[in-house]
Amino acid sequence: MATDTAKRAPASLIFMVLAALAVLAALFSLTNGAYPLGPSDVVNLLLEPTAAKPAAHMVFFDVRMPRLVLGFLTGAVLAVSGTLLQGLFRNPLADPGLIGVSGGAALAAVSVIVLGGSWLSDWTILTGRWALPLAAFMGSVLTTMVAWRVASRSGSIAVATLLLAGIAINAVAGALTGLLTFYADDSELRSLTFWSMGSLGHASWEDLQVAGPWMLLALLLAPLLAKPLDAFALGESVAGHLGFSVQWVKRATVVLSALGTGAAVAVTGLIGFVGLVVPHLLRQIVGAGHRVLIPASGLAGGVLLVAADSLARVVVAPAELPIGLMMSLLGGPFFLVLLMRMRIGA
Amino acid sequence: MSILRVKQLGLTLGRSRILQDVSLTVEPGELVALLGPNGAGKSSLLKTLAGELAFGQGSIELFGREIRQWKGAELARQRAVMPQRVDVSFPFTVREIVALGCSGLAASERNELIDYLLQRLSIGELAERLMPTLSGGEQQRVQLARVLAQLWNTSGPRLLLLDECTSALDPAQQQTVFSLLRELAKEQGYSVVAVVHDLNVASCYADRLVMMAAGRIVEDGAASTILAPGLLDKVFGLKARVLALPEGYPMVIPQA
Repeated sequence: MATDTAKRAPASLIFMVLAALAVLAALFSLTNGAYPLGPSDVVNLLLEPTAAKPAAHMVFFDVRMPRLVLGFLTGAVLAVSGTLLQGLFRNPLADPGLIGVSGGAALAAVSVIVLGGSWLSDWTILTGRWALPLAAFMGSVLTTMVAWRVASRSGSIAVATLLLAGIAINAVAGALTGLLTFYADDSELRSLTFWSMGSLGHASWEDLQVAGPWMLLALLLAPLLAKPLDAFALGESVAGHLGFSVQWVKRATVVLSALGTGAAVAVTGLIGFVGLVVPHLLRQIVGAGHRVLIPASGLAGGVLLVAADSLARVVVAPAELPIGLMMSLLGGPFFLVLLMRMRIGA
Repeated sequence: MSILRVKQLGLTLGRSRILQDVSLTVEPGELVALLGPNGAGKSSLLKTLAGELAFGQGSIELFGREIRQWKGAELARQRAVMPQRVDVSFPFTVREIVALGCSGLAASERNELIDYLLQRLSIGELAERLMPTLSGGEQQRVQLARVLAQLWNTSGPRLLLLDECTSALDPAQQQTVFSLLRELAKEQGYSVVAVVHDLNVASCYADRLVMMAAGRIVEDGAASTILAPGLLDKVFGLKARVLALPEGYPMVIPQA
């Protein structure tokens, strides 16, 4: 069963296929919705935006484009963060949720939804329409910092403790979120349920202006960690022997994934599975080397989320399924099949 | 200039004293074998020399500079470390693992060096295999190739710290590895500090044997003085005869 030599597609081919898939997914996403826009309309709109009908122009540039860009960035950031954290924890089961990012974001978001009119009214007045995303972002970064504090001893981080701290913090955040849910009224319940299932439905350029830079920052800096993360696969001490500054690598990995994922979760709500499945799947195709794995995961994560979002709009049209729900519906069974087919080899 | 100069090193982990009053000097071109029973502190000494464990007393100088004054990346060009065990967490190929030791080389030079080292360790045909599919002995030689690659293109003094680098190898492979290490020491001036369990391997290949017990260095000298029945009995509790071979080194034969 064990293969003798690693069968891998060349990196250039992988990137070409992923780029082609990205174009297809983008076209699928842009042409899909209540207002009819065909592929030729898309091309015309891109080439001559001023010649289009105002309605088409509005739908295309103010509704579908931001949704496409946000979807792609979110998918890319979740997948890249998953790759970074799997590399850091040396475990293919790690994902951004593990260090407390999503638990903290959820607690903060639900707090704003449920308490926004009472205890947290100062916050909602101060931050206006950004009350929820800002809180979610801060929640995710803060919980990660708590996990980090717990795991640090005299300047160095115990990676296993960080993981356990993340699990404990997630449990506490989950319990507090549950408590808030208990006190929520019907309409609050409805909106917090939808938030926790994730959505790209309200994507706007304003959201992107606020969250986009953090996500882009994480995506652009992540490839710098490729070499040290390869060395981390042999363990922290070996990475140190090879000359890498181990503490710096750990810090950079956690900061990038917390900032990127925090920003994504803040504007889209909880979207699971991308960060877990994409790196895992791609490792089978492009190999474990992070130099190719990180950018390939980013592209594939973006494609996957855009495609899943487009599907989510089709299956129950004119309504749409929450994207987080869609991801888990598709991702779960797919992952199970993958696991059964592989059995050996991580 | 000594490559390695350890003075009165003391190491405490928690409440237990792991190393006490360890002093050791290693010169360029010297192959030094660290011997001693399990738990004597050999691996701890090696890890302390590798900068993994923070020590309390004494000092360690590497290439004439206090160990804490070295930057990791700088030191990595002159000093390579092979731990007792290395687990690879993802399905990397052999070539990718060895390449981790080849920083700063162009792709073609890197592949040439990797193929050469794998060949020298008689695993040339494994270059494209995935690490998890290899046997323990094969994986150990891949790690050794990575460690050797790290210093291969350095000029000037170099130090290898090896912790039981042949523990999973059969006698012939053990011979291949130690002949190569000896060649590097004698022809390239490498200094090698290796934890060795096999007394006869140490006797055959090492310039100097350092015998440890209970966190201290008991004896430090040539094989003929270290491998004496009295000392072996005292340190290991090993009843053995020691034969002086005409080749010039002694051989230890455990008594039935």
